[in-house]
Amino acid sequence: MTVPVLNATNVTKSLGGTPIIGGLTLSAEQGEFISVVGPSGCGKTTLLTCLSGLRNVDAGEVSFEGQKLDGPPDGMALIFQDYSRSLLPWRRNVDNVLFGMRRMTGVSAQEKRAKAMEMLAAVGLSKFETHFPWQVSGGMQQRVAIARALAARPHLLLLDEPLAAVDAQTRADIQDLLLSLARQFQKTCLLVTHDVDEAIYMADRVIVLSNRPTHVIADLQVPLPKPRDQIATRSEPEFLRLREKVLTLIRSMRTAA
Amino acid sequence: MLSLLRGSLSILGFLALWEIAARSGLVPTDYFPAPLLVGETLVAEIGRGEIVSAFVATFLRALIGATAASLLAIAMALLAARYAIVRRAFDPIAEFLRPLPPAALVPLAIFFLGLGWKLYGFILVFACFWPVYLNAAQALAATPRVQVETARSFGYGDWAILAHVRLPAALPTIFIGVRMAASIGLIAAIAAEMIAGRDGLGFYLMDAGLSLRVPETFAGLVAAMVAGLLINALVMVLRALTIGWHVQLTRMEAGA
Ligand SMILES: Nc1ncnc2c1ncn2[C@@H]1O[C@H](COP(=O)(O)OP(=O)(O)O)[C@@H](O)[C@H]1O
Ligand SMILES: [Mg+2]
Repeated sequence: MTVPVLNATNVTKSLGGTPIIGGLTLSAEQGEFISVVGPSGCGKTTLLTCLSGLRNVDAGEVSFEGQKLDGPPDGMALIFQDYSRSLLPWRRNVDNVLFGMRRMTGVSAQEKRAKAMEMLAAVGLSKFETHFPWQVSGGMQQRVAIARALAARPHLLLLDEPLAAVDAQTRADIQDLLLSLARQFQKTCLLVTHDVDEAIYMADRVIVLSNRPTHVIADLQVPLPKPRDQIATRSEPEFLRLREKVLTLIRSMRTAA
Repeated sequence: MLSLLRGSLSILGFLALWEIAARSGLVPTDYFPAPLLVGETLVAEIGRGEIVSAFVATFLRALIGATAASLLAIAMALLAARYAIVRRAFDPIAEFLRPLPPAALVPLAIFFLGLGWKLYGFILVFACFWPVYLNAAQALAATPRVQVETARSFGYGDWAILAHVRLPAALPTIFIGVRMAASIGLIAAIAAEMIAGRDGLGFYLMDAGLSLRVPETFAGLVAAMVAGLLINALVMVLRALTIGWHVQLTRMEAGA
């Protein structure tokens, strides 16, 4: 068997004395698209900061491509929930994308720039490269953040509720954009969301998290045909069955809490 | 443009009223010379050259002092931002020294440093340092967490984050301090010249004022005002050049 891209074993993490993550185990195989759903405040963002090496875990272990994590590794990129603040307002969109390419060494400035433009084109923003992020809409800002993450040439993309703050139409557009980019660039993706429909629509596998201190309570395959389609996929019996199952799990936690 | 025109109109109106008041004998012209007389005196003084060299001396002192103090303060704030121990050691000292009015230091500084450029250097740097340091230290400590984490996840180390994220994020606030430093620099230069100077606008004003040459005193005031406007304009140009994005963003937010 091949080494999983990401492997978290029995991870425990407290913040300010409050246990947030309690013995969580998950792994991601090469090329998989995984959704992680959990109730608001259960520790999803905290989990991503641990999986990305931004925070150390208290107990357990996180390894990336077989290497135990010690700080943010090369080959992983994060897309934050708070995209409008994660973009740097003093940099134009193309320079924000270039910001993500620090680890790319041995490449001329010109080539880097060309690559950054290419990434902006891939998210449909060729005409906005010299705009500042605050001059474009929220959906476009999130696209810039996606281009920046892809420009870092990660093997693994971690996404923290990237679409929670955009309107429904934009959300659907960016969902499909993400799916096609993930396929085109053969990325392994881990998408955190509290939106059950989005979790199922996007993923090969859905992981359901418990309340705090959070751990995995279900790990479900999503045997839906690909490429996904906003209308057809969402009306598949299998989609509805999974949706009911995940919602039931989440509701049972709410009553338990 | 229109507001500039309206502004000049209101100033012109004020000067015209003053001129009329002076000519009609409503105000004692010995103490409040008419604007035209002040203008004539200013032209004559510029011809004599003394006011020009006084202006240049004061302006350069303020400019060099404020620039040196700003650079020093930014460097210190960067160190404090990078090393918590520097901040913990320096901040109490800052709290202790900051309330000292710079002019109060002049007598002691004359004793240690004499009457030359060292005196001006010390007084000006002391006066201009604090607004820049305090603004910079506060802003460098307040970088949005998500920006720092984004940078870390892309492989930026602590120094690189300071240079590429925290400093640029802090620049708008730092410029508030620099702008204060520029006006404080002019105040401190003129105050030091008044107390200990042998040249400069402070000395010129003292000299003209104490010998009751009232029109010359007013001419000196006009020169000081021009110095103030000029140094502020320089800061604004520098600001537009370095953080034009912020100027634009602020304008956009105000318009929206
Ligand atoms: N520094 C901290 N100290 C104590 N509690 C914290 C800290 N940071 C976050 N938390 C708490 O941890 C919980 C999980 O936060 P988060 O990971 O952001 O959840 P989610 O992303 O699932 O909404 C929240 O209830 C939050 O209040
Ligand atoms: Mg969150």
